Amino acid sequence: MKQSEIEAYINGELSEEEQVAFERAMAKNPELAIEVNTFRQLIEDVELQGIREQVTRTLEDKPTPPRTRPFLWRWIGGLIFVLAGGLYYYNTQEDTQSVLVPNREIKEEASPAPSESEPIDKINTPVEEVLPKQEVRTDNGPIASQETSSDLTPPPYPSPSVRGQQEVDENWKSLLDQIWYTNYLPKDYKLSRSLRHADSLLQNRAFTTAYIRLKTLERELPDNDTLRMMKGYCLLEMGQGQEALYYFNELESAHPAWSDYLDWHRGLTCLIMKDKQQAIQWMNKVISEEEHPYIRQAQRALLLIE
Amino acid sequence: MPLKASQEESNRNDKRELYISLGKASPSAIQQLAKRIQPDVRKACLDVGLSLEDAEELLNDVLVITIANIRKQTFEFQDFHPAAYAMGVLRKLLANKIRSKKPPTETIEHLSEHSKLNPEKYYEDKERQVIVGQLLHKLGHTCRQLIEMKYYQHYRDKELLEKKLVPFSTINSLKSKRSQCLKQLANLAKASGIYKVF
Repeated sequence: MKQSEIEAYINGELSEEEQVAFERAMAKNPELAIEVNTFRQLIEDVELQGIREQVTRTLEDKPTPPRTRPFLWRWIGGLIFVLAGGLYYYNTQEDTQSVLVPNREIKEEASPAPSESEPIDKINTPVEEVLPKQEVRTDNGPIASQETSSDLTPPPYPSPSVRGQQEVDENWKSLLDQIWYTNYLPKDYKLSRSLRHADSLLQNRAFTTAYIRLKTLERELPDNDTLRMMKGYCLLEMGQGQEALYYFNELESAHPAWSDYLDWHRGLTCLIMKDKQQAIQWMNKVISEEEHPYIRQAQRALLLIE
Repeated sequence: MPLKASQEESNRNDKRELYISLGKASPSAIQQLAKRIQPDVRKACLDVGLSLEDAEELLNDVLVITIANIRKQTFEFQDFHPAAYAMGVLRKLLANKIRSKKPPTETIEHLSEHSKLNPEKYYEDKERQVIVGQLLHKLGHTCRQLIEMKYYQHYRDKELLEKKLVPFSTINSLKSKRSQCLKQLANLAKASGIYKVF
């Protein structure tokens, strides 16, 4: 019995004759009947979970407003917005380069003339929408490499589970946990409104929901490189090394400025896939560049892997 | 009188439209129903000493069950607003949540449709379904895409090929691959122990 026939039977896609024959086969073969039931249950579960995720996504997208003094809330919201804006302006004026400057010289290309090869988010996004995302994780981010790899604080978040023969490979995971210095997107990324929700999900590490959101958006924005980068990062954090690598590889040629970020994170994708040799090659590449922002992380990784 | 009749007709059409859109899990329909029942869900939860977080979770569950039952045709359109059905579901879930065996005192509108709802089974299924959702993400990109497009988004196979949404050129190859993917998912589910048989 072909696997696709079981699915066709469950979906009611067989002809009347085929259906009768299938049911006869099931009556003779209890194992087949069990398999059909399991498939049916699985499909139902997939569908129900799909509805659940759709409901969650929808309610997260547009929460219904509370029924309390809308005017007062608007005033409070406005006040917070003005204060936050003022604070942000003050900080950017006072200390634009103190925290985040990597050891490599920053090119002053914050708002170059858009070209056709740029991601559409970059082209359409006004300058004020550029968000300084990397500030949150300065401790473990790509910072100046004067110190040695042993000065690095441990990664703030654990690595995803690595599977081998259906069992979680605890040894490999514990190694990864020590070097899982992931960063959410390169420094110069810019967001359009449509990506903000997914952005906030990723920042809150709600990777499954973010993935679904990004997948939906991918249909609307198939050529958006920022979205593709977000998806690559999301897949990496979900432990989907191969797919993450696919996205990262595609992005390098389009955005050479992202190559430092991509070098290190491609190394991590190889580690997720347990491709030690390839991972070592990426780490060596990072180390070979004196001012690479991920040099300390790569040194530490090599030390532990080798 | 004719004006009143046409207004009633229009109301009925609105309800039917909402019912149909809910069956398609359309975001605007979900929002419309959520907006309508959310205040009552919150009030009902607070009245029995549950938190607002519980209320949010219950709201989600109520919406999921309502949509699923529309799809399964266990909730058929009968001229009343889907919110009335949803509130019946809420009462059942709420009764289960506060572990009260006592049936709700007030009359439940259209009780028959959801009187078969077993909240304990629903929560048991929910746990399993969440795990299935996570396992789905462990499959490769193509597999996940094929299963989601068929069973989340209800694309027809022909449509998938016509719009070139999947990397297959024939319906047979598409079906064959999707079945392999389902088998893979079933094996993962078996390994995780969520299915007792198979």
